[in-house]
Amino acid sequence: MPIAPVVAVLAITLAVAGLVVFRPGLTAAKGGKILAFFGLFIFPAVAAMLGFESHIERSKQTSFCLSCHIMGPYGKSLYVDDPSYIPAAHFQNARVPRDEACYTCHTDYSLYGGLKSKVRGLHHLYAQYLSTPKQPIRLYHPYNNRECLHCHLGARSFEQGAVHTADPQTMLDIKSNKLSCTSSGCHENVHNIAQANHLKYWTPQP
Amino acid sequence: MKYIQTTKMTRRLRQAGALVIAGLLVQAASLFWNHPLSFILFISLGCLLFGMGAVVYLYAIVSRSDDGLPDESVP
Repeated sequence: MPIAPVVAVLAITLAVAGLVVFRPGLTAAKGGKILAFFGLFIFPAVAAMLGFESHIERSKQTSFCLSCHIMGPYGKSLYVDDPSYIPAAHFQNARVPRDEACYTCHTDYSLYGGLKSKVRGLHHLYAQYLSTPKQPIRLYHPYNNRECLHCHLGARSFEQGAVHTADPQTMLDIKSNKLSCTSSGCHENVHNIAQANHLKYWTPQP
Repeated sequence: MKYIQTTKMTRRLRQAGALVIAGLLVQAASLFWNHPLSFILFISLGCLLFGMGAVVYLYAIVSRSDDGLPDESVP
């Protein structure tokens, strides 16, 4: 949700709550009581829910993820000028929304997956500000093919890919996550930040 | 007695309103701060202040009902 409507609701709520604080005599009348109920309970609750939603949406943005210094090299890897680099190829060719690139690939496409990713985000905050992040950063779990197949399942390039269809069992193993897309030697060039200083980078045209 | 009740009610309403306003201001500030910690500020301070204000407000109207005074007791 854009920030403007949330701020508008907050401003209206502040005005109503302010009226109750500075003119409490208004609450003597029935209309004043209703005003106080809305100003001190309903409107602030709505404003808090909208604000929460706005924060959740903002936390999906690539710039949000990269606002932590430790994520800098991973953001830089999105500009590697090499199509074999999976994140870079997806980002540069707009296969994922550029402003939500990290979230698109690193959320869980499962029931409550969004919630799980937010809980992981809180753990990231803990690691960043109250503990020491592990170096190098690793995923909590091996990357699940489910996240790739969320988009690629049914796509001609995937379903009819020569390697994917060479053996019927291969396709079954990919779809059941027994054969990893990223660590089975096929699409293994992911962020690979250890090589960051030896790579060419793409500069987007303004 | 009515005057005392009114004053107490007014004071609680003002306290509730002040807490709610403080919470809303913190929430508004967090929306303009594009940083991961802004979410923590929003939840831990903004929503906490609003929650406290809501509790004080609800306590004020519930305790007023318990007094058995008519609603029109404000002079």
